Amino acid sequence: MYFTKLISFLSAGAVVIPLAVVLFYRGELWRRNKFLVLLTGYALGCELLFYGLASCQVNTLGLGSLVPLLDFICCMLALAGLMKGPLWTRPVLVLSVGYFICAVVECSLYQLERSYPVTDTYGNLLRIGICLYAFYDLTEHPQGADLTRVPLFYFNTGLLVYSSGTLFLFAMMNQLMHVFALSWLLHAPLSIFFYSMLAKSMVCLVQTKS
Amino acid sequence: MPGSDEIVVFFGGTLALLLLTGGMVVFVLRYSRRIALHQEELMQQREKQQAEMLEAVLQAQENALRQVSEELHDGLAPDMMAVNQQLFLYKKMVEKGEDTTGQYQTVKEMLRQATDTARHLSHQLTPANIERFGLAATLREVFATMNQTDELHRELQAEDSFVRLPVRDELMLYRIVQELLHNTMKYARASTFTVQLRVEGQQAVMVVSDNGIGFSTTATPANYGIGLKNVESRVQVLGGEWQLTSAPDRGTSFVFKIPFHPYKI
Repeated sequence: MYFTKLISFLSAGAVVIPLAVVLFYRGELWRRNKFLVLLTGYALGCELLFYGLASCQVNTLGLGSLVPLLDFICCMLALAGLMKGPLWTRPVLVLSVGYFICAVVECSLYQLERSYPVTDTYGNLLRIGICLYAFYDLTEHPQGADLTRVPLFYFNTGLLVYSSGTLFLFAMMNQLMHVFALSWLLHAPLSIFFYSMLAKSMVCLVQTKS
Repeated sequence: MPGSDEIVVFFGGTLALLLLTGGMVVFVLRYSRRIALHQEELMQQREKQQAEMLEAVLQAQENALRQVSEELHDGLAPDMMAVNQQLFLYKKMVEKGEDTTGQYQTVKEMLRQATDTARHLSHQLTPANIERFGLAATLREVFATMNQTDELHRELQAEDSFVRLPVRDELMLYRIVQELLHNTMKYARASTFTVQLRVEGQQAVMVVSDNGIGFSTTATPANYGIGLKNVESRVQVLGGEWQLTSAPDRGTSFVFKIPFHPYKI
């Protein structure tokens, strides 16, 4: 029990890393890319909500389809703001709309409080594909000689590693219910990594000359 | 343990995917670094090329000024001094009451030669006719004048299809011909220098050739090289392309292809 709480605390608590950056550079960050700030605010809200509900032993599976959908929107808006080329190309748009429709259909057809949504895996795969596309965009439209100073590189790396790392977790969630704590053990470092990369991308964004 | 297969698939799959992702990130990082290095190299090469071209243009200007100075010093100045001496003799003959008809003709001829030298010099500096009559007519006139001064036969073959180009382009082509003619006279030991002008599709084509000693294109002579850089910079300004063909004892030929923008009067 103590172990599970520690994992969930670490996983959720990592949001303080980008939050600290947002609080430090709030005005400048908002001016440069408001979606990164909104993403951090949204992540903080979600982590607090899930931590609170989990602490009260409330089943959070019902939010399983809604939260990834909002996650997807926030991440894509932030990514589009960092990319030089267009993100919303026709294939990306069609696949995203497909994801929304599937998620809505799944929400209305299945009892989500009993099983984890399947569309989340689809969303994860879509995110991986879009991250690879963002890397392609980064090589096609270089944003500087040194990639380690490019905000998009950090944000995209964080999102890609998190999405890849959690792909099997979310895809096999229903089969891994009996080892729930063990499987979520992996989520904590991935979550910390993503939030760290988000923070680093925000720092890079502020330090980049406008 | 129940569901151990699922756990193996979960951890194995996740680990494999994370390794793949990590590899991808490292690849992007290294690839972009390589691209950045390549772009930096390209930029350095371009800067070096521009510096070389600027040097060639400055060198060409310096050569032109030196040539004018030499023409003034070796041509016009002695001519005028000789005229001065002849006029002095003419004055003496008038004072003595001698017949001055022959002396008058001598002075007149010397003044004509001096005028020719001045006109030749003027042509070299700026061909005034190029704006009014175009490249072909100017070259024809200049060649006709120059053919009387030495043994090199300069020939222009302009097809009827060759129409007027913008003055800037014609002036650039004229300078190129001037540069190549200078090289031919100085190094080629040729008896014929030919310029062909024609239009091919959307390009104005100029072929400049001589029947001189030629040179190996893999080891261009140093002095020739400076002139060629000057030619290259002018062709680049015109947005065209050029090709050099030469071999020892087989003459030299240059083909210039310039995007064709007909001149509208």
